[in-house]
Amino acid sequence: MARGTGFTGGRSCIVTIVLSICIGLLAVAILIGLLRVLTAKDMGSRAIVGDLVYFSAVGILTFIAMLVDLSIVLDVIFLASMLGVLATVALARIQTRGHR
Amino acid sequence: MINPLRLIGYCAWIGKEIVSGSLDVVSGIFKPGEYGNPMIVQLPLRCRTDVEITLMASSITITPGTLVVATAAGDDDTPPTLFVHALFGDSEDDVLEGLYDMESRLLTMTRGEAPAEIGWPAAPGSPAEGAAS
Amino acid sequence: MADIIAIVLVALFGITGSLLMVLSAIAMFRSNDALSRINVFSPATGLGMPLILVAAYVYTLWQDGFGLMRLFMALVGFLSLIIVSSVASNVLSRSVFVAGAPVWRRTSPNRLAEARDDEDAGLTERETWGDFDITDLD
Repeated sequence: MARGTGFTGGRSCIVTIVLSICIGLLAVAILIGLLRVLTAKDMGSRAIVGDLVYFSAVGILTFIAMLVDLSIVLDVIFLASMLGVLATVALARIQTRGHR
Repeated sequence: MINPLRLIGYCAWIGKEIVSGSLDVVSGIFKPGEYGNPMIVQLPLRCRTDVEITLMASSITITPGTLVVATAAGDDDTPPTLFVHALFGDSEDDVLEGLYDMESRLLTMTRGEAPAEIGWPAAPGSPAEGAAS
Repeated sequence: MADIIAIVLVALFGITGSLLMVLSAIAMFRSNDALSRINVFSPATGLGMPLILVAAYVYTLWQDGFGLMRLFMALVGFLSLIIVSSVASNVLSRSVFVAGAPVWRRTSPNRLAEARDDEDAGLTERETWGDFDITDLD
């Protein structure tokens, strides 16, 4: 139960595997998204795929914080979920060239 | 004021809709052929206040498979109207039926009583007539 | 015993959430226009990210015990994930529409390009958003 057992503690074997699977899945999501950005033709698709990459990166950061036993597990997702709208709104304004 | 019990009930219903819509999106991946059956339908609202319209637009968008594309403000003659992009409906009437069901639940929550039936007071020639038939 | 329950819950929520993100990305890959892509993004933010948040909360509950501040963070994060992402999707889809991005030609019926009464006209099947003038709405 103690913190700081790192990779060698009793609990860490299964948990490390599970968290690695999650990180791998999210990395696959980012790769698929980036491939889609390469093949997309219009700006709107790129904007929404950028949003997907952002949220996947936040998920990866959360799982890494769990993996190396940082105490910011919830802070990451709390701040990112509240401020994630800013990038989307900025891309939306860029798309319409400043019109609302 | 909104009854908290009704608010919780509505949130639970939205959660159920999110799960079932996600299952639709996921099962659509494994079907061969073109992805989904997109359509844009016109939804004249029975909501009147800004809070109701905003809640309705957010509820539609957070449900996977439906997305608000444009809004048209209402006045004395025409109801406020949403244009909804639906991806997994069988037909236009099918999609509109689901959206009216959601709106009825929303208005029951905010007003504390069930709203009028689909035949809302609409002036002749407004878009509401076409959708009600 | 508590360890096993916590591990199972973290694995269940975490892997389901990550899998939903991947499936949402694949659905984005398969759909044909920007509006469909924004549409299939809501499973990721409406269900995938909240599940990841729940996994993270269960993990902190298991490691650090219960805390009011953490519960508050988890609740606010959960609500803002759902509400904020919904508002963001609305803003983005509206700007896609205003910017005149192409809509897949098989989007039928398209009530932004044709009124419901003109069902017999039948010549707007292949119309794109580029043909549609936003000023008509005003």
